[in-house]
Amino acid sequence: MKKLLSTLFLLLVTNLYAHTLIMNIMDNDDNTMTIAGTFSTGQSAVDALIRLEALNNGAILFQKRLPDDGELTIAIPKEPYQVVLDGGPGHTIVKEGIAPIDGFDVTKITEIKQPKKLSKNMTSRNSWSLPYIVLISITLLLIVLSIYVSKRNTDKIIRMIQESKQ
Amino acid sequence: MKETTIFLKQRLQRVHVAAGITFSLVMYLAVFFGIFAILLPYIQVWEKPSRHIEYMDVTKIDYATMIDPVISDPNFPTNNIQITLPGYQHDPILKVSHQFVEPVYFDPNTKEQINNEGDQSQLAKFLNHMHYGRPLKTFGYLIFGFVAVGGLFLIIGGLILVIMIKYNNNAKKPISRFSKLHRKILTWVFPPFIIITLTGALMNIGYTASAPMTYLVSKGETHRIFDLTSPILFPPIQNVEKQNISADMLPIGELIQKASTINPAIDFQKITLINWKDISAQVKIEGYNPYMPFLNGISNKPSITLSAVDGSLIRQHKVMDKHWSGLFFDSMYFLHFLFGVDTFTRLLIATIMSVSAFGLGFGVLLWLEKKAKKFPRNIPFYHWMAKLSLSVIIGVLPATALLFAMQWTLPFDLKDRFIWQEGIFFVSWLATFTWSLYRINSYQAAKEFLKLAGVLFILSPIFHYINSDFSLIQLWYQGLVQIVSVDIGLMIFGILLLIVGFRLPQKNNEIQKFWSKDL
Amino acid sequence: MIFKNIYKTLSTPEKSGRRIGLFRTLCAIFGGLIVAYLGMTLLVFLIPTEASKSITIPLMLNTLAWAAIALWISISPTKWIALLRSVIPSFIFAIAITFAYYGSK
Repeated sequence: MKKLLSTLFLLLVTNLYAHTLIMNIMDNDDNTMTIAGTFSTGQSAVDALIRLEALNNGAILFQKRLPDDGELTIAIPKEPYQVVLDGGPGHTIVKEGIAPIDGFDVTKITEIKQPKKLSKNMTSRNSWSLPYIVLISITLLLIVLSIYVSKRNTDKIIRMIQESKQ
Repeated sequence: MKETTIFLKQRLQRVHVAAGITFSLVMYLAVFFGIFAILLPYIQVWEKPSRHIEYMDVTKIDYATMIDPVISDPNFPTNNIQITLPGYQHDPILKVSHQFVEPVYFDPNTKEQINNEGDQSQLAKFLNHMHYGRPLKTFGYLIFGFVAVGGLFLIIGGLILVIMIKYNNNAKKPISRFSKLHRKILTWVFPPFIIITLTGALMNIGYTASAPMTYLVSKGETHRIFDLTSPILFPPIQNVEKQNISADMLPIGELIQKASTINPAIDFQKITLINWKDISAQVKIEGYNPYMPFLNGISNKPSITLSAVDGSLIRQHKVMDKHWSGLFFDSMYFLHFLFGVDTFTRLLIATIMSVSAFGLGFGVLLWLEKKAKKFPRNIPFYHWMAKLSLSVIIGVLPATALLFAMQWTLPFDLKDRFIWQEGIFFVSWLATFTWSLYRINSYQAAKEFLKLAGVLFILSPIFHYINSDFSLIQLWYQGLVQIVSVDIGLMIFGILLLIVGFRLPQKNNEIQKFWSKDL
Repeated sequence: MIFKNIYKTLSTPEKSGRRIGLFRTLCAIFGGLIVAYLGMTLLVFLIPTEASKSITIPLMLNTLAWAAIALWISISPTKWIALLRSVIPSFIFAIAITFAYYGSK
C-alpha cells in the first residue's frame, strides 16, 4: 500500500532524461581498474570509446572501444590522468582517474611532440561569447524601449479619452 | 431546466474563451513552426552548400570505395554500423554512422567525403525546435505540452458549442465575420488537428509523466516507459555471434537489388551492417512502404535481413508483422511525422495546417474585437494583448524571413554562426513587439510587418543564387528539384505577403468595410 | 457546523454561468489530470494483454482524456459537483487499480 502511494507522488519526475550515458570506474585493488559504460536504461554502451588522457599534457595513454560485455579492465597508469567515455557527438563523460596503490609517480611523464587539449564533460558551454553579449544587450535595450513606448502611448490614449469626455 | 441549459452554454462559452485566449499564441506558434517542420526535408537540403549535389540511384552506387576506408579505421566501431542511403528525407548524401561516433558524409557521385556544415547550419532543425519549445529546454517542453492539452480541451469544447448553440452566420460585422471563420475553419480541420495535437502532447509531457503508470502496470519492475515499450516498438537488432573468419562481402548495391526483388514495395532508406567482413556478416535493409500509409514509418519499419556473404534471406519484417500496438502507434504518429510520404501529401497537410493557423488567428481577432467595443468610437484600440498578438502572429513573419535571408548571407565559416542567426531572429522578433507598441494603429504595423516579410522572403532565394553559385536553371537541369521548389516556394510566399501587406486597410472605416464585405 | 457552511457555499449555484472561478479551474486542471491518469492506468490493466503491449493506447489517449474530463469538470453547475466529479472517479479508479495491482501479482 505504501509503495502504491509513494509511486503516485512521482508524478512529474524521473523520466526527463531517458537515455543518458553513465560511466562507472571500479578499483580492483591490484593496480587495475574496471571501467563500465551503460545507459541510464541499463543497456550496456558497447563500442563506446574509453580513453585515458594524461593530465599534464593531454597525451593519450590508452584508447579502446568497449567490448560486447560493456566493460574493460586495464592497468592504472602511473602518472595523473583522466578517464574519458566518448559516446559520440554531445556525449562525453570525464572523470578523474583512480591513483595506483603506491600513488602517482610524478617523474613518469609520457612525452609527446605537442601538448594536447584535455577532453571536457560535454555539458558546459561558453555562455559569454561575443554574440551572446551583443544580442543580450540589444534584447535589454528593446525591453526598456518597449516599456517606454508603451507608457508614452498609453498616456496619449488616456489623454484622448479624457478629452473626448469633456 | 431551461435556465440550467442557458448556464451550461454560458459556462461552455466562457471556458472556451478563457482557455482559448490563454493558449492561443503558443498554439499558433506550434502550428506556424510546425508548417516549416512539415517542409523540413526540403529546407534542410536547401540550406546547406554540401547538399547541392545530384541524387543517385541507390542500386548504382559504389559503396565499397566510400565505406571500406571508414570502417577499416581501427578507431571506428566494429558492429551495427548504419548507412543512410541517398534519398532518405530527400538528402542526396550517403551517411556512414554509428551511435558513438560523428557521422561521415559522402557525395555518392564523386565518392569523396564531404564537409558537413554541422552546427554551422541548423535552419531546418531550428524551425523544428521552435515547433515544440526546445529553445526553452524542459520549461519549453512542458509549456508546449500543456498548450497541446489545452488545444484538445478547446477542440472538444468548441465542437460541443457548435452543436449546442445556433450561431448566426450572417457575418455582416467584423465580430460575426471572425466568429464564422473561426468556427467554420476549425470545424473542417479538427480531425487531423486533434490527432496531431494529441501526439504532440504525448511527446512533450506524456512520456515525462508516465513513470507512475509504468511502475504500476509493470508491477514494480520499472518506472521507465521505454524499458516497457522498446522491445515491442523499437526492438533492438538481434545479436549475431561473430565467427572471426574473414569473408568477402557481396556489393551493397547488389544486396539492395536482392532486397528489392524480395519486397519491391519498400523504399529502402537505411542499412545496418552486422559483423561486416566476417563470415557471419548480415545486412539489415529497412525502409518505408508507401502503399501502406499510416501503418509504417515510425516504429514499424519493414526490413529485409540478408546474409552479406551470399545474399540469402535470413529474416523479413513486413508491415503487418508488427504487433497491433505498434500499428496503432504508427497510425497515430503518422500525420504528425509524415516520415517517407510524398511531396503532395506533405503539401496537403501543410495547407490544412496553414488554414487552421488562420482559424486560430480569427479566434484571437474575435476576442480583440469584443474588447475593442469597450473603447470609445474615435479612440484607437490600444491593448497589451492586441500588441502581443500582433508581434507573435504577424511579427514572427519578418523574423522568420530574416532567418531565411541570413542563411545565404552569413558566411558559413563565421565563428558562432548559428548563435548569431538564432539570436538575430529572436532580437528581430522582439523588435516587432517594440514596434507594435510604438505604432498605435495595429493595422498599420501589420502592413509594415507583412511588407517587410514579403521583401525578405523574396530576397532569400536571390541571396541563395548569388552565394551558392547556382542559378535556378542550373539547379533545375541538375535535377535538384527539392532545392528549386524551396526557392520557388519562398518567392511565392513573399509575393503573397506583399500583396496582403498592400491590400490590408489601415483606416478604421475601411477596416470595418473590409471584414464586412463578401470575401 | 463548519462543514455544513462549506457544503452550503460550494453547492449554491451561481446566478450566471459567465464566471468559471478559480475553484472550478483548479478542480478541472488537477482533478481532471488525476481522474484521467488513474483511468488510463486502469485501462492498461483491463486490456487483456501484456502491459508492454497494452500501455500504448492508454498512454496515447491520456492527454485527450485529461482534456475531456477537465472540460466536464469545468462546466459543473456548482463547485460541489465539480469537487465530486474530481474526487469520486479518482477514488473508484484508485481502488480498482489497487485490486488489479495486488490481485494479479
